[in-house]
Amino acid sequence: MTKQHKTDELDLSALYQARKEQHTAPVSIKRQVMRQATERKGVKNWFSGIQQVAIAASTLLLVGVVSVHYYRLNYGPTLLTYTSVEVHSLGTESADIAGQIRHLYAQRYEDFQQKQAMLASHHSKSAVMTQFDQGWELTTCDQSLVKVSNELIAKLKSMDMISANIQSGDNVNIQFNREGMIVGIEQTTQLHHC
Amino acid sequence: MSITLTIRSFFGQDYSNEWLMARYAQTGDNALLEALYDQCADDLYHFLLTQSDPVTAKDICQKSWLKVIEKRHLYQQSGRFIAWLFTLARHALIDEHRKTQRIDYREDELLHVHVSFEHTDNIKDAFEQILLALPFEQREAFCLQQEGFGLQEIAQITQVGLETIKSRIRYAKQNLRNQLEKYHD
Repeated sequence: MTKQHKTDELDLSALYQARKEQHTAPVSIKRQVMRQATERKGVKNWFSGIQQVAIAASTLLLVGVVSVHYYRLNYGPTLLTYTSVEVHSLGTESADIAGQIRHLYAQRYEDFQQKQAMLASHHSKSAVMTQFDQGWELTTCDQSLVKVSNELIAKLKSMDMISANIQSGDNVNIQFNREGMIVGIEQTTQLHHC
Repeated sequence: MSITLTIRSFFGQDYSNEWLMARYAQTGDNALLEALYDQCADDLYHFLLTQSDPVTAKDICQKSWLKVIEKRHLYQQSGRFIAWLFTLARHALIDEHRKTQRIDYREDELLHVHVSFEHTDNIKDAFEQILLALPFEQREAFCLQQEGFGLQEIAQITQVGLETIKSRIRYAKQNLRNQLEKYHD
C-alpha cells in the first residue's frame, strides 16, 4: 500500500465517520425498543408467575400425598382383620323363638279376623232397626247385632245423618266409615232379604 | 445488575458487548439491553440509513432490536455481538427490499460503475452523494468495513465469498477516490 493510498484510506474513513456523526439513531427507536422489552418481560413474568404457582401447588400436592401414604404405612393398621361370629346352643333358645313365632302368628291371625269382621260390617249396609229400652238394635244378615245408644242416635239426628221419622222395625241402610263406626242410618223402602 | 452496571460505568469500566449480551440472554435484564443499545445503536442505524432511507432504517433498526430481545437465547458467544446484530438487521433489510423490489443486483456492473452526483464545494456533501450513488453491494461492503468488520465477518454477514467482498470493497473505494480526487488536497 503506497503512502498516497494510506492518505486516501484515512480520508475515506474520516469522511465516513464525519457522516456517521451527523446521522445518529433517533431517540424514538430506543424508547420504542425499551417499551417493547418491558412489555414482553411483563408478559413473561406473568407466565413465569403462573408456572411458579403451578409448580408450588404440584409440589404441595405431591408432599401431601406422600405424607398421607407415609402416615398410613407407619401409623395405620398393619392388617385388616375380619371376625366371623357363630352362635351355638342346645336348642332352648330356638324353642323360645318358635314359641315367639307362634305367638306372633296367633296375634296376626286375631288382627286379621278383626279386620275381616270390620270389613264385613263396613259392607253390611242393610239391616232391620229395632228399638229397645236403652237404645236401638240393628240386626244384619250375618246374625250380628249392633246396639246403638240413644245418645248416638240423638247426635246423628242433630247432624242430620239419620232419618227423622224412623221407627222400630224399619229397614235401614247403615253407613260406616273406614274405622267401622256408624256415621249414618238411612231409612229404606226396600225389604231386608238375607 | 443495574447497580453493578452503574457503578462500573461511573468508574469508566465498560462491559464488552459480548458480556452484556451473554448476561442479557441469561437474565433478561433490560438494563443490559439498554447498555447494549447505547453502544451499538448508532452504528446499526447509520449502516441501515446508508443502505435505505430514514423511514426504512428506523423501522429495520427497531425490528432488529426486537429480534435481539426475542432471539436472545440463540445468541452464541463464539462470535461478536455486533456481527450478529448486523446479520439480523441485514436479513430484515433484504427482506424489506425484496418486498418493495428496491434492491438492484448488478453483478456484471460491479467493476465499472459510473457515479454521477451534483457538484458541490463541500467534500462531505460530495462524499455523501457519491457513497449513496454506489451500487448496493459495494456500498454495503464498504460500510461494513468502515464499521470495523473484518473481511471474514463481512463475508458471513453478506453471505458471499471472501474474494467477492474484497472486489466490492476495492471498487467501492476506487469509485469514491476517483470522484473525490478533485476535492483532495
